[in-house]
Parts: sequence; C-alpha cells; structure tokens
Amino acid sequence: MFWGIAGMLVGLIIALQLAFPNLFYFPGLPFTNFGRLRPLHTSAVIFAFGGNVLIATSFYVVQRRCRARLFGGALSWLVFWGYNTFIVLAGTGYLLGVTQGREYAEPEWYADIWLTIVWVSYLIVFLGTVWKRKEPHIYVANWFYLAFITTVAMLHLVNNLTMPISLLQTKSYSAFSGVQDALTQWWYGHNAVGFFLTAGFLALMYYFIPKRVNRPIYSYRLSIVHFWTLIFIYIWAGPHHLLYTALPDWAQTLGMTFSILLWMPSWGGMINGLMTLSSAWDKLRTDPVLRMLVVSVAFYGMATFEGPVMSIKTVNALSHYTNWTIGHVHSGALGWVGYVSFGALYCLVPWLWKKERLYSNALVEWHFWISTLGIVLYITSLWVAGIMQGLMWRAYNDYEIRLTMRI
Amino acid sequence: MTAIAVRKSHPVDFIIVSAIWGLALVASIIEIVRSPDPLMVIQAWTFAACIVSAGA
Repeated sequence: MFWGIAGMLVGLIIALQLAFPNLFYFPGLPFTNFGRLRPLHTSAVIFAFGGNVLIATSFYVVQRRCRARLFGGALSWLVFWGYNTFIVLAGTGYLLGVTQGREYAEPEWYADIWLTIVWVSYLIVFLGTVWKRKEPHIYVANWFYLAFITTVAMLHLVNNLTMPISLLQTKSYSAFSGVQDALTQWWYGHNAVGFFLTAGFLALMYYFIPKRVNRPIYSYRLSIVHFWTLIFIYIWAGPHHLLYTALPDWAQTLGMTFSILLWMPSWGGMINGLMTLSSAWDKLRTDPVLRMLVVSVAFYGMATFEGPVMSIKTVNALSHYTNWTIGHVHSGALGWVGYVSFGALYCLVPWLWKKERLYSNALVEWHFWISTLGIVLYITSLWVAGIMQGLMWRAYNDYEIRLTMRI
Repeated sequence: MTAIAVRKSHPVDFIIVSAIWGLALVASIIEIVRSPDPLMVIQAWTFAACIVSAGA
C-alpha cells in the first residue's frame, strides 16, 4: 500500500508537470525532472506495488492450494526484504539519475544482480512449496504464478546483459546494439506486461473470484487452454512496439500477428472469469469487493481488445507516440491490475487477520465508484487527445517523415 | 483446543540467508570505501542501510 500511494502520487506530479510545465519545472532541482520521475512512477506502481501484491498473494495461494507450508523457511523473508531493498535501490537511483535507459528495466547492473539473487530465491520458495504439496493437482492459479516467476527471471537476465565500466562505478553498457538492442528491450518490455501484469494477476483472478463467489471456476478446461495459449503467444508480441522502425518488416508483421492472435486467449480468460458468476450475479449488488474483481476482468477484456487493435500497423501509424497509448496502458494498469489487486487485498486482509468483515464496506463502495469514474474519464480523455494528436501530426506532415524524425 | 502451527526455520536456510545478507553488506561497504563514483557511494550507503535495517 505504501508503494501504491507513493507511485500514484509521483504519477500525479508528472501529470501536473505535463499540464502546467511552468509551475512544476525546477531547473535547480534535477531530481524533480520528468525524465527521472517518470521511471520512478512506472516502477513504483508496477514493480513496487504490483510486485509486492504478486509476491504476497502467491505466497498465500501456493500454500492454500498445495496444502503445504512455504518451502525454505527464512528464504521467504529474504524474498520480501530483498525485493523491497531492490525497490529502494532502484527508486533512489532514478532520482540520482542512475539509469541504463531501458524502459521498465532502468536499474543499473548492481541492482540487477541483487534482484537476480532475490528472484532465484523466490523461484526456489515457490517451486519447493509446489514440490512438497499434499494436494495432487496443481491449481491453475499456481501455473500462472509459476509462468510469471520463471518468465520474468528469463526476461530480466537477457535484457540486463550488460558490461559495467568498472565494478566500482554505476555505469554499464548493454551487450546488444542497434536494432537487436531495441528488439531485446521490447521483447522484455512487452513480456513484462504479459507475464508480470497479465499472467501474474490472472492467478489472482483464478483464485480470488471463485473464492469470493463461492463457486468453482466456470470452465477448468478453458482455464488450461487460456494458460497455454496465452504464454505461447505472448512471448512473440514484443515487436509491435517497434512498428515503422529499423526492425525488419517480417519481424514487425510477426509481432503484429501474434498480438492479434492474443485477443482470443485473453477473451477466453475474461469469459471464464465473468461466467464464474453464473447464478450468483445478485452478489454484485451487495458485495463491492466482488464488483471490483469483476470490473477488473471487464477492464482486462477491454484492454486486451484495444491492444491487438493498436498493434495493427495502420492503426499504430496513428496511435503510436500519442496519448492514446498512455490511456491504453492505464486502462490495463488501473482498471485491470489495480482493481484485481485491491479486490484481492480486500479479500485477503480479513482472512489473514481472522476478521468477519472489512472495517467499512461503505468505504469500498466509495473507492470503487470514485476510481471507476476517474479511470473512465482518464481513458476517454486520452482517447480523444491521442487520436487528435495523431491526426494533427498527420495533417501537416507525412507520417513516415514524422516517425523517422522521432526515432 | 486450537492447534497453533509453529513455523520452524531450518538451520541451513538461516545460514544461506545470513550468508547472502552478509555478503551484500560487505559488497556495499567495499563500494562505499573504494568507489570513485559519488553516485555509487550514495547507492551503496542506501543499500547498506536497507540491509542493516532489514537484518536487524
């Protein structure tokens, strides 16, 4: 919660910097520069808030669904403290201007090494718990958590292959160069979305919605199809971030094709989540936490439709580099990840502290309605602004020239 | 009667975690003392502070 508040506050500050550049520009204070605060915002909300939600819920779900204590004893504490130490190191590094300039992978080599140690410990704790399970079946939520942990490990290792200029200095240089560097970065970047912000949080959906509704998942077979198709297809979608660049055309088309293919498994998962409420729709009227979880799935469906549409080359020619992209990201981040996280936390806190109910359901209602209104206004305004932006660029400049100038 | 589950940490886990924590602290101290890069020194102080406070 601490990181969530901090990250969203920094998001507000950088939004104000964009809206009122004269009021929020302090040349004498370099740590307030947009270029330093923007990665602080993205990393704080994605990796600090989202990461802690994923670690906390995965440790809970894996124990419940495997009927086993966490493997590794003190190792799980290393995961918690070690991960948060990484967050502090990364965040303070951004403010100081220490960055390797790779979006969503800004921390320098020493922080990356520390995260590798922590992440391997996380994998050992999770796999060890699955290994010693007393339940013969591995529930689908744990498959999603496992895909998230293993794939993020692979992405992190490959994208952060760098050579430090010295073991006593912060600066390092990437092992890749040119278009290979860009492709590696966006293979990482998009799969951070796919496996951190999607696969990981789908695990929450598959555990907390059935638990909250007190019904089994609508179709377990569909959940398995959802899992395998999603993880197979997602890993190829990264090149859609590099349309109309120096990346070979076939690779761009490959990225676009797999992005469009992603629509079906994503909606399979959405339908599975929503249909779990069959014969229990009335609970939406009385349970704001369930409503939050269900609306998160609706946002998941909307964002995973909009994403494939935006990856189509002709659409991307208009949408890329505009505020439409920012709106799209936030419909997924706030609507899907935010709501499924808060829904899970609202479930988890009374369960863990053995309370009958939350302190105030009325406050959850307020949380739900205020944030829904905010998210809808956010997305719609950036749709209009982004499309207008793209059309205005196109009005006085051929888009090929515009894109060439911005590379 | 309510059974209270007691979580026992295996001594080996404890040794591994302590070793990682100790090495991290040593690495940060080396950076603080030897690094010519002021940004690295600040980062190493931050890291050491986190390691010490979490370890405590």
